[in-house]
Amino acid sequence: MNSQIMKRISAIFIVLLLTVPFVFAQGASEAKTEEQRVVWRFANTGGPQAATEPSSDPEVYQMMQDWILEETGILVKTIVPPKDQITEKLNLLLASKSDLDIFDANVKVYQPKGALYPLNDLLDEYGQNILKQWPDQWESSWRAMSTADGTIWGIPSLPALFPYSVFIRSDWLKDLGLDEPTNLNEFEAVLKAFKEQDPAGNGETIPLTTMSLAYLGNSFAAGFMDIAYGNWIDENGQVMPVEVHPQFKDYIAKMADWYAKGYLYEESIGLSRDRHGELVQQNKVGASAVWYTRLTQNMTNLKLNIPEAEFTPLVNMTGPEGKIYTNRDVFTSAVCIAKNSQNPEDAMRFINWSQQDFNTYYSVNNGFEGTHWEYVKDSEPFIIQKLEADKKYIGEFQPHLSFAFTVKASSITEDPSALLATEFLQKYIPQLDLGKKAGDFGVAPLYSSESIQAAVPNEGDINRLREEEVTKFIMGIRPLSEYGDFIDDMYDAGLQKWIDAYTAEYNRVTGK
Amino acid sequence: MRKHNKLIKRTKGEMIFEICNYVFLASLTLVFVLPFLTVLSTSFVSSEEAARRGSFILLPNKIDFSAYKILLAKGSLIWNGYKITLFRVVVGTTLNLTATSMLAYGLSKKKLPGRNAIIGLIFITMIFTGGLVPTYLLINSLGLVNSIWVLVLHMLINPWWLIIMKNFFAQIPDSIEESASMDGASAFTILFRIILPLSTPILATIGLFYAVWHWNSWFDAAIYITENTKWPVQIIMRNIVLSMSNSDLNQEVMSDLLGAPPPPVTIRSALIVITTIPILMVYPFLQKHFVKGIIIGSVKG
Amino acid sequence: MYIKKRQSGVSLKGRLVHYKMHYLLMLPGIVFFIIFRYIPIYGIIIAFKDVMPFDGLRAMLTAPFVGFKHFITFFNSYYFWNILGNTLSISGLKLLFGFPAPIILALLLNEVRSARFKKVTQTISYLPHFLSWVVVAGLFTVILSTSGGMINEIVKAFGGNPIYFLGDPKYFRSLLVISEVWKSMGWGSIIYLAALSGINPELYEAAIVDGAGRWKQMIHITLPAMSYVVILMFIFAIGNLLQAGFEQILLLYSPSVYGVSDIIDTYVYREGLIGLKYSYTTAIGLFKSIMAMILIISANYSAKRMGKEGIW
Repeated sequence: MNSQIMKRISAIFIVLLLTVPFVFAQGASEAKTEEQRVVWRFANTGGPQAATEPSSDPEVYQMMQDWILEETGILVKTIVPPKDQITEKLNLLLASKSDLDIFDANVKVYQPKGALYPLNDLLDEYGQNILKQWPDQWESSWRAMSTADGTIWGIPSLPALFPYSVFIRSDWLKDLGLDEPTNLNEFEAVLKAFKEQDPAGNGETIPLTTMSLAYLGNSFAAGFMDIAYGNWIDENGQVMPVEVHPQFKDYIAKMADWYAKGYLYEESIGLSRDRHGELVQQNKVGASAVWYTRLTQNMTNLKLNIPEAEFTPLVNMTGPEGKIYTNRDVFTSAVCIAKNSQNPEDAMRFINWSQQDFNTYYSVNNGFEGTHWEYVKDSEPFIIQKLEADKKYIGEFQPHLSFAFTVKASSITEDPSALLATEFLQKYIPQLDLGKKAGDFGVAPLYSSESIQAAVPNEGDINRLREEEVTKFIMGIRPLSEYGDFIDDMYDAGLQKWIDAYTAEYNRVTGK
Repeated sequence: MRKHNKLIKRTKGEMIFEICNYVFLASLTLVFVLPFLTVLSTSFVSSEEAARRGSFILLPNKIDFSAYKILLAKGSLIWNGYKITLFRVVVGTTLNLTATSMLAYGLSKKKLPGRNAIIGLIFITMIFTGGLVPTYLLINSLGLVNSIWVLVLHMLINPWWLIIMKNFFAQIPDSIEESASMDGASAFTILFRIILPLSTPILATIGLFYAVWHWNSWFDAAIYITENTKWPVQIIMRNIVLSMSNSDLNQEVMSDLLGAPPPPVTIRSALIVITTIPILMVYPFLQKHFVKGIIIGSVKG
Repeated sequence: MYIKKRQSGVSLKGRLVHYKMHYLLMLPGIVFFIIFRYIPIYGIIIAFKDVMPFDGLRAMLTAPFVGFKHFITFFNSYYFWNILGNTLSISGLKLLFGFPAPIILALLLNEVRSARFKKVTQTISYLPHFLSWVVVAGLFTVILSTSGGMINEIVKAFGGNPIYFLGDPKYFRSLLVISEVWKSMGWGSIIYLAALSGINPELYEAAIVDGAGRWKQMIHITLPAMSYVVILMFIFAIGNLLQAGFEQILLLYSPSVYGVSDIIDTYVYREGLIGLKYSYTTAIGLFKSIMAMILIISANYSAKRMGKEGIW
């Protein structure tokens, strides 16, 4: 008898185990709103990803949604992915054809995979503000968003920039009675003084650091070559990687020299952002060659520690061959509309609406005027004062972050990190004449990554070889006398294929 | 386990071994605990002190709770996250253990027809998986996306732990079962009345594995759960930390977020403490099952 | 019941009837494996295709086959032998030191008489398991740093020059093994402790009566009694030989030590950075799976030959 009951219980249990979840899941799916035009924004960049709050205050969220609905007739819904798995989540939503209209993505990666909606017609019909707001001098951005047939796949967010710089502890310079260096010889003398006179104390001074080979190259290499740190075009019209340029060895020799003398921090190449920040904040670093925010963001904590500490960007420093910096080419990340969008017209209308004027743009990204921010100066260039609001808005609805608007305004702040970053941004970031341009500048963003991948399937191997061996030369693990062998190895790994593929793309894009 | 050993005179060699053993284990313990203590005390350091002294500080000059205040200021969402996590751990582990032991028990019967085929098929899933996209498409078509049940169901049985349990059951002498089945007890009764009570060490072990796995998991929730009210505490915490270590260079340029400093090491430490201590509390309750020798022999029929 | 029991050795039908309740017990588990593990397994075919992942299910099934193209690309890649060698030697070293460590820890703990000391030591040994690799990597970076790191301060105190351990190919693999063993040995010992507590105390009593010392007790009672777990864990470990520790290596390595630390998984990760190579990375994953299968089956076969219960 006992076993009969047991059988029955077990049968019920098993049925429950298998069905319960599905019943619950059914209840979770919500009813669709009738007739309402809906646009889904996948908030994968900007405010929502930077905020500590996972979402806005529900009341503010509702007000913003209502305001947009009232102004445009479109009900915008948002998905804020967890910060860990933003890209995975996007890919899965795309693959499962879930509700998704607007998202940020790299056009070069997502367009060939067939994930994007062509924007030409939509822009012509509904995107007048967007076209108007993006300045003419950044016109190359639109080309970077396009395929060879002229189809536009994204709305540009960033033009080419001047983001790399060497920052130096100017208060230390003063303490040691040194002038701000204007060329690499003077800079080397400063590094020597930092090393020998140890302004940090306890032998803890790190005269110069960086975080990666790319940061180091973008900050110094161009000073030793008649080209920038990047691809160059040889006399036969071929696209060549920087490592095979005859003058590149001079740059490596100098860096190896600095490394051997202890000027360049031993752990520089591959230094994590946290560790770099820690060394800066602990008052150990004399100079740092990085993407500017990687330095500026440490100012707040450094000043807690040493109130008189100052970092100054050495943007005008020159090397034996002139400017030492290399510009960042046009970005290919953009705001895109999903191929499977149910409502691409309204998606474009919504983005376009947000760019009708500065006020709308700033509000939809940062919250309501008077509650979340206010004007200190309400004409261009705008000056904004952020307000402490109880009910926070993190910017889920942001339709499109655009550098065209970034340069129109600055906000008042007393935070040292933001102060230095804003100063650099306003003064130098758009100044492309401070740096050199790679041989295929403006063209490289138009290369078809599909064709290159097909022609050079092992580009990753070549990249590793370049990174690993150049690092070893700088760190003195490999003697510079073997540099020729390294070039040979590159050809063994398939460099000729690489050159041919890039040259073919270069010629295709430039129409040669 | 061997208290009576004390009555027996120890040899000199045994004494030396014993002393060495204690010294060795004590120093090992120190090596294990020091980093954790460092993390614990770093979580009580003020951001000013952390800026000055670096990331891992064993003895703070001053105790400061601001890291905890920042993390726990999220109020309701955190508690909500704990609720989801608790659901996962309790309901999930219960279902995991039930389903795993039922399957393991069946598979421990060497004469069960089709046993090897079933183990073979399970073995294949240990090694070959369809990948994330097909799995997501399946979960989506089952309507489980954004349902908390997916957190429990998508990993109902861990095949590795299933095999361990199966082999443990296979160790139990048949004689114990035979006497029960002669009394007319069904397989269900035998499993839940006889086998499982004899298997507390393995149940405690596998249960602990499942519980800790549930507690630490965030990837599945990040992928399958969209609404933040259904996020487990791990995701909420990681979100808070990652928000300060925004690594997207483009967006730093575009948005008004230039001042965002990297995550203070104090907050990261406090996060580890908050997300680790509760699950560590569970352990002492399970420990008696490991220490107490279970006496298979004494039940012998 | 008794009669059925007798029949069970005889006919298949008899055995099926005898075990019908067992099948019912196994049903939820089997249904789980079919739904959640077997339905998505079709995803493997994209290793033999060039698939655009965003076209969804249909494209995955209808895209034309490209044969072994992706596998050949992988085998012909410039660093194939380097990353395969690194993978095997790093996980081989981890197996060599990391596999016995928890067993020894469990045995030593088992010899401890003081229940409190045992409990405390055990609990503390799990702590590293709860620290994520990000934290452990951060800790190692700080401890080993040339600027203010503890180890280098000691080196300096003895008059040596500070060494950049994490950037030196000579030391890097040892550091991987040490950090791995440190992080996992305590947690890994749980399963062995569970096996130890399943040993019948009467066996020890009998041995003591026979005058067996501790060493003999361990050799003749403890080890044989836990051997089934050891064998099983060893088979699992062999199956994981191609998992050399992705997260750990990714967080600790830098270009100067790529040559000794670039493994299959970090390679796949870097390939993924270039573009969304779903098909290529799936092919590499499949290669790893097949290798793992071969390794597990041979390990299992050897275990069977030794007369032990393996996976089957």
